[in-house]
Amino acid sequence: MSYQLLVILSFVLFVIGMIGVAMRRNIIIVLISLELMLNAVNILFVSASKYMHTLDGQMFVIMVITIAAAETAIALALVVKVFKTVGMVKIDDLKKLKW
Amino acid sequence: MHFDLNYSAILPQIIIGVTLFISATIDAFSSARKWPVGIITLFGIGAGISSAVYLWGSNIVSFSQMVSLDEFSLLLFITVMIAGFITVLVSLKYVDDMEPDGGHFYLLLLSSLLGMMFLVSATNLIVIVLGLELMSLSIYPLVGFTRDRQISLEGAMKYLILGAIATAFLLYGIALIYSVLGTTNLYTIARILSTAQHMTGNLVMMAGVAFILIGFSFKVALVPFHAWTPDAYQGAPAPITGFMAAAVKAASFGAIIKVVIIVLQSFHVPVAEALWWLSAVTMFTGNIIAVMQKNVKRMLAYSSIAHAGYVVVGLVSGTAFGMSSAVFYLLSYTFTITGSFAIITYLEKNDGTGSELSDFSGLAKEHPILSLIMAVFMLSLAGIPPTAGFMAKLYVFSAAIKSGYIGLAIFGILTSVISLYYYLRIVYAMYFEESEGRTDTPVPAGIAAGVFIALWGVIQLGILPSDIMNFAMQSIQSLIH
Amino acid sequence: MQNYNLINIAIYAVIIIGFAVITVLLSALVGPKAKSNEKLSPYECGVEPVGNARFSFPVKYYVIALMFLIFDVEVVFMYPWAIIVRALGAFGMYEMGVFIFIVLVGFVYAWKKGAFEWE
Repeated sequence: MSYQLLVILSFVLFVIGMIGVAMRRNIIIVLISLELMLNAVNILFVSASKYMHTLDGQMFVIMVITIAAAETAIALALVVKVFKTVGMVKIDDLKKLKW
Repeated sequence: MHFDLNYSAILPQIIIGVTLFISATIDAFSSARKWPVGIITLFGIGAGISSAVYLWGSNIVSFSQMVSLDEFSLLLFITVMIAGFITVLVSLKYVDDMEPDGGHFYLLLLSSLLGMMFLVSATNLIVIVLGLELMSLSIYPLVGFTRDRQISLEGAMKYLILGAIATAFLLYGIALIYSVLGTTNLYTIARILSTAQHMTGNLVMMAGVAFILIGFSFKVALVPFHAWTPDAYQGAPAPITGFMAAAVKAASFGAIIKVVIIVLQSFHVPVAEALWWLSAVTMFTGNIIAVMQKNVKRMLAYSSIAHAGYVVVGLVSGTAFGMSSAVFYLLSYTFTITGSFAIITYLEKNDGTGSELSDFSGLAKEHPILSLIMAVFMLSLAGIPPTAGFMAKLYVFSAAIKSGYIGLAIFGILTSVISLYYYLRIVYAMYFEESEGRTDTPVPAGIAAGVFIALWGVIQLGILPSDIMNFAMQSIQSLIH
Repeated sequence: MQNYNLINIAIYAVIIIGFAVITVLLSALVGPKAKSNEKLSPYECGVEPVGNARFSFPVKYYVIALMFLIFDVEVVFMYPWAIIVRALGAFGMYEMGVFIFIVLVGFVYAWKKGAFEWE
């Protein structure tokens, strides 16, 4: 695989994740799309690390994985709480606050 | 094997981290009332502030050039720790009232402080992201701290999703820059960029810078990336709203200033133009929408968006004076907004209401001193002398005029005239409207102490700003060297 | 390696996607259909399915899963460390000790706060 293709792959994944965040209404799907965006970052880091012959990129991937896990944990904890009080996990149900 | 480890480079962080451990242990093994945890936290933050003052003047880069301890990071350490100190003081009674077994409030506050400190002392883009995430991930649960309040959870959820998008953007921008230059160290990037002229038109590089800018704009809530701000600010418990407006904003701006000074000055992209538009739109939108608000927390949320725009005016000018005026602005805003939210904390009731404009009516009759102080804070936010807000705006706009951005300065002054309307409406409500019968509780000692510290800061920065401005200048110089 | 032509990739992708679509379509069109009640019910290891699959789980499962997620990811940092632990010497052991202590404080905190209580 050439480096350019990996860069394109990561960009496409990032855009798919972005579309998912923007379009989907279910919070869980939105979180999955966010994970997709972060993993696009990981692909870019790893391939750039290979291309540049520096190990930093692979180190950063570990950091990004940790960030993603922590983010998911807090998001899921909040989703559970929202589910308990609101009873739904659709974004459209979160509309008490506006303007 | 040789290790580049100089622990004094992270001494303030170590103090906050150790405090976090001690507080966690005490919280885990203590009974229902959690104010002792808060007291320990206060002592820890106090020790952190003293260590930062003690270390003033040192310049250490360590941990494989991942973090640096210079006057810039120290000044921002002090800013965010003052915000944390006032917030903890204000919350001592609030936490026990709101949530049984709510000791995690202080722990999350400490860990977000830790994240902010790594954020402003980072010299590597990855450490910036780690600090930013530690800060944000601790703030999300704090926004949803009052678990049974639906708006609180809603604000937290929206903040989390948009914050996570911002992080993804920031990370992708960093990865793009890494894929071009093979490094994420700020100083190395600056060195490569200043020698390699062919990078100027590099599309991937431009995209990377743009992504990073977007990510940061989300975090400091510049229009059009501000959508989460009013919801999160209104939903959050009042002390946390103050903390977010003061410390989160100051720390994120610290990182932006650092990146702009070190990296973007040697990279010829139209960053100043982009910031020009962002700041103009932000000042306008924030102030206009704030006029329409009935809820004071939400009004101050939009006002905080507008204030982010004023800070960016300092960045646009691009000179050392402009950058220092931005730092000064952050410090003055920290005092003013934490003080204002201390008073709102006193008014907020257990079910989350009590921050409507009508809840302020007639406050002056029952609490003349508190109302007077609130009026001073509002005047400071509006930028009326002799308060900190006036000096901050004066510095920022004069920096813009010196750099030739006269239009932006005039626009900023016009928008702050608009802002006068809604700040004075609170003062009007307190002094000239009849109260609707308020249950009169005495002001808790913690809130009184927090309000007085904030008031001292506002007056000090308003009357004798030159010393603090000198410190801000020194801090910016320490970055440029 | 570098001479990969994008058009080759595109042709390859079209063939793969086309193959997948055609197989699915073909089996749907010409395959025999026996729509009995047994066939349409979800397969659950041969046992009769009990209730709806989409019921909500008790929250305690989520809490345990979150705890697992956090402490699971911490291990990621130990892999690179394990590779060079000999070269690092005593310093490496000490640093990992600090790291594990930090995780341990979190663990004890979660424990005392009752995150692992099942009932």
